[in-house]
Amino acid sequence: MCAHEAIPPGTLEMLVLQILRNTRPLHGFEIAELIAERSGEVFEVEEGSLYPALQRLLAQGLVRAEWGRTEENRRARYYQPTEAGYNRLRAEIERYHRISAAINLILKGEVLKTAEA
Amino acid sequence: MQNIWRTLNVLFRGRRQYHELDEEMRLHLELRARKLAASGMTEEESRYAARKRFGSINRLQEDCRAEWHLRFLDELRQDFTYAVRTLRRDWLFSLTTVLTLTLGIAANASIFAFIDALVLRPLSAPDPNRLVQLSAHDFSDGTNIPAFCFPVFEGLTQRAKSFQGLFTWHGTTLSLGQGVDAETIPAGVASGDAFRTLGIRPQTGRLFGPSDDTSTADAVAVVSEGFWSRRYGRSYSLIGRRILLDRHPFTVVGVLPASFQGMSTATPVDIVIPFHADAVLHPQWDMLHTTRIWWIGIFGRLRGGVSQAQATAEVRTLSHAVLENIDVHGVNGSPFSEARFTLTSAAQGSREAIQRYDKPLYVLICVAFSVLLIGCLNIANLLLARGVKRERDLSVRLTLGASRLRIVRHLVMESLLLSGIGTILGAALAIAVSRASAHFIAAVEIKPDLRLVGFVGGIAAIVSVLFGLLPAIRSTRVKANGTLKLARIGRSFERVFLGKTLVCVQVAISLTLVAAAFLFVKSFATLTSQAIGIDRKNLAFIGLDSERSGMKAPDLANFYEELLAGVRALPYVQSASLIAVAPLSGGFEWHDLTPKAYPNLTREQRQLYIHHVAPQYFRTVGVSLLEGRDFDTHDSTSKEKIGILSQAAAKLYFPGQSAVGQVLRDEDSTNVRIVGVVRDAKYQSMRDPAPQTMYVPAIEAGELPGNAFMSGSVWNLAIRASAPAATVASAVRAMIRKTNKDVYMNGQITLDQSIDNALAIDRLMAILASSFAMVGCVLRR
Repeated sequence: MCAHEAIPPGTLEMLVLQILRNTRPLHGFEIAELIAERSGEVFEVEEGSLYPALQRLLAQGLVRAEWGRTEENRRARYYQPTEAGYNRLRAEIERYHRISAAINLILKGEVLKTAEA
Repeated sequence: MQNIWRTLNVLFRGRRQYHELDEEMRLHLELRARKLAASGMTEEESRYAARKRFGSINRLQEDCRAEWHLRFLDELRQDFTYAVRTLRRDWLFSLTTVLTLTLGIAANASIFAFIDALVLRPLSAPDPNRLVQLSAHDFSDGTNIPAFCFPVFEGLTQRAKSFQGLFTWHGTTLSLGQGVDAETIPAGVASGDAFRTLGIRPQTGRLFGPSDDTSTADAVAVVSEGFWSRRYGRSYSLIGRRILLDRHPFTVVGVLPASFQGMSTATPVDIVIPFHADAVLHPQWDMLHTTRIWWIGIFGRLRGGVSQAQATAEVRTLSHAVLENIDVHGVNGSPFSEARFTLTSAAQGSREAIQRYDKPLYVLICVAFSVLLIGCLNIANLLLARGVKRERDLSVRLTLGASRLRIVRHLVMESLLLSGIGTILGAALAIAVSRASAHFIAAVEIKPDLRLVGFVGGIAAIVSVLFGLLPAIRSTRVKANGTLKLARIGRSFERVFLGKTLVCVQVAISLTLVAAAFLFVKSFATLTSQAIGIDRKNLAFIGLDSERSGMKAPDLANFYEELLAGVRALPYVQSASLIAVAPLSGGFEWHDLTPKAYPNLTREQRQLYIHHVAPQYFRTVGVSLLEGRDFDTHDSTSKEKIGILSQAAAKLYFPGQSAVGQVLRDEDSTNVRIVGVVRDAKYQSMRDPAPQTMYVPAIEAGELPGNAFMSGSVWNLAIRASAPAATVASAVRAMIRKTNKDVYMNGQITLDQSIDNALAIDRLMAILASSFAMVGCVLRR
């Protein structure tokens, strides 16, 4: 078993929206599994934050949910982004890039300083 | 809209949401367990691991739910603080709006409080909707008369089957205590079944029942809760105590609940006595058998399963059988046997209050509502003006990504805040106004209750929708990128047109209000200042009742003659006399002239109003003698019947000739010789012209004659004095006390006060209409 990392605060919603983008509607378990898989098993999504996050997205109208059937014919709630959800995702990604670029800049500066010293 | 809908959906479908979350999470658990099992765990281990990872499902559900709640409340709080901030920034606008609303709502709430107290509030008896009141529809003149005599009640009780119980009720006044110091209290007279039928339980002691309401039963009385506290300090020793009512001993057996103050909301009572006991107090009226005097109300409670329509049908068919055996002439002399009974709801008590006050009050409600309307229009106009500035604000917010709904919500929050403050202040003002002005209309208790708050809140809600939501939607109709267009909209045709329309409507309503107020004030001023034929300055009447004194005719005549002499000797008394029914006091007495002698006159014209007066009456009240002479002391011993006619009567009965010396024949074919003619004077009503009136001597053939109502025991001293009425009254009181006779003094009233009372409703209307018109004008600015 590899070491898991917690998902950085404030990014879970972005990740969920990203996972749901350009795909068929997914249910909660599938979302959790896909996030873990696409992160190279670095992230492990805790149910305790996933479901509140999904409810938050629902409440804000960023995703919509429908009840459907799994392959094994079990009832499951399937989520997909709304128009507002796509807009939010774009904004969030932009924001994330800005932030991570800023962080990178700072980190690079640190490296330079260390090198100079 | 969707947003709110979603949130509300979640908030109100809580249980279903739990189930859905539950199902979703169970599926997750199962899939997780299956995956773990696939990686080599045993089934039990995998389930445990999945469970452990998942944590508490309940807690998770709470977390999920919180997402919805917090967001909703959070946004509400944001809207609220933002609204407070913008309103504070625009404090002049906010202040104007709040004041406008306060006045408008206060006007409406106080009028509602009046109407509620008098007309709307149901009797506090269980199931008041099953209570009905009987009235008789008189086909001869189309009126509904809710007054009956006791034999009708008995006839109906024996026959009617639709009722769980029937009872009579009428209002009266009783003197409490003995001698000249007794006080007059408002009282109700009810038949034995009243409280059982109403379903009222005593506050303490017991209420009287059928066995207390017989000719042989001991006289009992129950007192109102208010009277018990006011007069007896809620002392339990009152129960079982004997008190004197109209000089008769009554035993107090119980106290009524605070919520019951009689069948008529307009006239709350202090005490209630059984019908038979009241009959004993007034033997001269023969209340149990008379069919001449119609005054009692008949009430009933419908039997279970009987509808009001069914009961009405029954009493209608019973009308003939009940009225047939009764020698009935209607109140106005017409044969009454053709009349048919009908039922009206008595859920709010006797119709009396409703009949007396409903029209003026409904007019006032329209006036008050106009005031509110003017206020709303005013606010709408302000909002429109403010809109130019606001729309730029809003368009910036729209551009920055605020949803239209969110902005509308914020604007509605502003309105709600304004109308909320307006409502609270308005309700407070209304309560203050009601308290201060309650005595204008009647001795009714006006208490703010939940329905009043609901009514005011309703108005406020309508107002906030009117002036909040509509402009809000209008303002946000612009697209986010339409910032540039906004400047134009500010001066657009639509806005100018809307603004002008608002102003026009406001002016129109204000003018109507002012005109209506002017009419009310004018009519009141005309009524109150008109010449009434009597010199109203310094004129007072003091009511006396000698019924319990035991004095018979000659003694009584002597008593009054001595009393009059004493009063006339007072230094500040210019003149004094006696009259049976004080003018404009509301009472009246008439005789019918015989149609045989006056075939050309209508029934109304043959109706001759009667005043019993002592000598010097005309001098005392300032009615000038036109012809002939005044009564003198010799008239009181003369056997011949004489009278003095008013000008109107002289013209009517002896047209074109002098009335003096003529003989008038009345219904019981007695001849009255006319000895004088006096100027016309108002009799009972300030509205009607002075009726044809005949004055007859108070003391005839050595006796005080009296009539069916008075039995010669009730008289009014008419006194013109330079001292206040109260001073004269206490001097009279002292004189009566000295005679040691049990004569009851009914209080004093100046003629001006009588006129005020007679015009109470006109005055109220004038005051309210003009103050509302004033408020309307202030609001219009």
